[in-house]
Amino acid sequence: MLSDVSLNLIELGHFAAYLAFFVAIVQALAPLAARVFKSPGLRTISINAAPVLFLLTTVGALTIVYSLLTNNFSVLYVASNSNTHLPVFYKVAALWGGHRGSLYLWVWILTAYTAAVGLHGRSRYPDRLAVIMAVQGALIAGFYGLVLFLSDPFTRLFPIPPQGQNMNPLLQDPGMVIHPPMLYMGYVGFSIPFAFAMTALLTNWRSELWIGHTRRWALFAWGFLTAGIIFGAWWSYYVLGWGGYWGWDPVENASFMPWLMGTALIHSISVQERRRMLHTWNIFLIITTFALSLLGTFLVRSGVLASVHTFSAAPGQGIYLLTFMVIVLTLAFGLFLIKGGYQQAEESFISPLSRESMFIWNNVIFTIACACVLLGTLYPLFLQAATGARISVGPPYFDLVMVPIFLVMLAVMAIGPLVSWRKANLPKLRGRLVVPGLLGLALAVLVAALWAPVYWTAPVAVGLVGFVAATIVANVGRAVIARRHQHHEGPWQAFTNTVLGNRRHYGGMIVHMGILVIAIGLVGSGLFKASKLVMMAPGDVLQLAHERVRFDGTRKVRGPDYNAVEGRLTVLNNGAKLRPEQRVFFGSPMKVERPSVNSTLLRDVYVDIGDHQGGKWEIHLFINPLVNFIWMGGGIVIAGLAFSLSDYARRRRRVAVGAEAAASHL
Amino acid sequence: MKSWAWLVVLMVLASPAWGVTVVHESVLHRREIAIAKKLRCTVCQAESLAVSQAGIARDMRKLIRQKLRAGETPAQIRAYFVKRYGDYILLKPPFDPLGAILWIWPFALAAAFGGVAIAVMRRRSRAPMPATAPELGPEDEARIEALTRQE
Repeated sequence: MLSDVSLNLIELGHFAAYLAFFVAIVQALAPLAARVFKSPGLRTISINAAPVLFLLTTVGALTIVYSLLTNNFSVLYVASNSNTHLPVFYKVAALWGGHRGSLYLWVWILTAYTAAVGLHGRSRYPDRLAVIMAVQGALIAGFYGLVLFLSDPFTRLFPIPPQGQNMNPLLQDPGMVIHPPMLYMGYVGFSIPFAFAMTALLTNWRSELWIGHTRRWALFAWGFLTAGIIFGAWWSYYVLGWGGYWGWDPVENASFMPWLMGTALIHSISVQERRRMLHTWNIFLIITTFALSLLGTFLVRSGVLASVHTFSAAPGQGIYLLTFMVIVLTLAFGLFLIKGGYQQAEESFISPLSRESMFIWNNVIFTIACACVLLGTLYPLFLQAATGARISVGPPYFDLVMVPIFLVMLAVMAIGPLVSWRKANLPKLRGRLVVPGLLGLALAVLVAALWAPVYWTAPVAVGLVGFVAATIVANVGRAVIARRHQHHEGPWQAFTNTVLGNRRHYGGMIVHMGILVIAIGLVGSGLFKASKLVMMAPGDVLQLAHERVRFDGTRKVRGPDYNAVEGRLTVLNNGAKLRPEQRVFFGSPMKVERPSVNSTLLRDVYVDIGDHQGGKWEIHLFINPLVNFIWMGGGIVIAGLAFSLSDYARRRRRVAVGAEAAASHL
Repeated sequence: MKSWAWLVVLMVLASPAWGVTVVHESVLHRREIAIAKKLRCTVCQAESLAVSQAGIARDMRKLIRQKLRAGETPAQIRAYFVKRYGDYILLKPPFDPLGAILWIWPFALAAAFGGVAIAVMRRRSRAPMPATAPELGPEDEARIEALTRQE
């Protein structure tokens, strides 16, 4: 039995959260008060509130985790999302395994970002920091209102039940433990560019003073969002057992839309940095990206869409979130319309064929992609609300619409980085495109010939991937050769110096390579997969696409919080053992199929076990080619992004050393 | 005449057996999945019949297979499901008054955004350029020299 202190420790967290709510309101209002009462000193309250908020919210989070770990079922959230059988690992993760806790995590991450920006800004942009903090404070207060008044994770339960309900069985997986925090780091991270843009509009902040910082925060958030989406796909693939990783589920779309706009943003921002143009468009993109992050949260958390992600939500929360979103966006876009004029581009296009115009095309395509996903996701909801008619928009629609858009993206990706800034040299550009173009064409023909009756997207996509890869390699090659001529270095040294010397650019190229690897994975697993669903008796052998799989029988196994039937299968080609399970979790009538996968670089053998009938078991076998490329590509994207951002750290060090050197000279 | 009757009897007897042969089954399965992919599992959230593990989805898949065995075409099978469940069951919305906007939308967007982008770039690139920068003087050259040496 728990002692009184540990039983009621949760109240400390509850108190801390309420305190944080009021601190956030103060944080939001301090710069305004400073202006009204003409005492600039009040502004510092805003800045100093940031770490306090983070600390208070952390106290709240820790008390929830403590209650989960100590099976404190007097807390409603603990009783409904955890029980004594749940492994410790999942008890901690249960903080975001339920609706209320996951909203709390949202706020927690928001306060963490705010504290980080507070520290980051003290030396770099101290004059505007108070306003940035105030914008963040307003967002924090808004979300705290939701957490405390409509979805309070600290609510107590009496009488105390002897046992809790279980965490959603589908969520009991390492992939799911990582996926939500990553995704939230992405969603919430886009609040920082938003706060910068709002501050810029409010205080007429000159764009070159804030756009560089914004770019790095946006890249940071984009990286987490990318990782979050990939982990989500990974979880879907290894846990849900349907043999796929992306189903154009509305909730997946909800995370994909901010990703698309965020991708447009991180490209477009560099145009502003390099060429001092697109200022207003960038602010528009920043607001839209954050708006889509909010929309994603609303769609997932309001219960408008029911899915494995939405848990159960009360309608009041949906209305609150929607109202909050409408207020934030009305204010943001209103401010944009009134004050956006100050953030005017200083330069303009010289030629319609230039790097900046290629970035425009990138933005156009990503915006179209996002708008298509948006309509496909929301239209059925609107239609049902407006007319009562029910229609479905699912994978066949999205595949048909989005795949051509993705292919155009690849084409722009090939040409864009080759076009020079300001005005392209057309003959030179043509010369650089010929060889990669022919290479891509050859690859496309090869794919079309080798896998003869194949859907047209496969050869086109592979051809484009080859095209892009060749342009990147040629680009690096030219730079290395130029450097060798200039500095008389060996090939390897020239290569490392070239790449390390311009981390920002080559980091971006690594990210592009990662996207290509993902594209190969998508083509392979999307167009060349095979599946079979059969009843098998022990000893039966099933053949599918050169793979032979033998069913050896079943065994009963017991997990920490479930009983399961384990199928025992052998992949005859390489002797690998497959152990798919059908789990029945305690306190849940649901049967959960847990697939088993034998993975090699080129193909996955993926198997599910279903019900049995007269000595035979239902076996669902999938051969999924190249799925590993998707995960590898995701890793490359993140690595490239980290490499690109490392430029910043390096430059800062150099500046610091330079400053020291200068100081020692004095 | 007698031999004909025998043939009919043989065919009737053999016909269920055709369904069991491996090749036939796998082809059927492929067709069944192809159809099931485009139909929604009516009790699930955003899942197709092909991937859903719900009981009703299994039954509907079985029904698709039976209809395929009976020789119905995919279009007939789809029509059967639409008649019973409405357009809701189609994961790819049809081009009708309700669904048309979904199909027009991508093209409308491409036209609108593409048009705006081209217009903006044309207009801006025709706009008067800022005066060209003055020639570099010896002072500037010395500064550049000093900066490059620092690097």
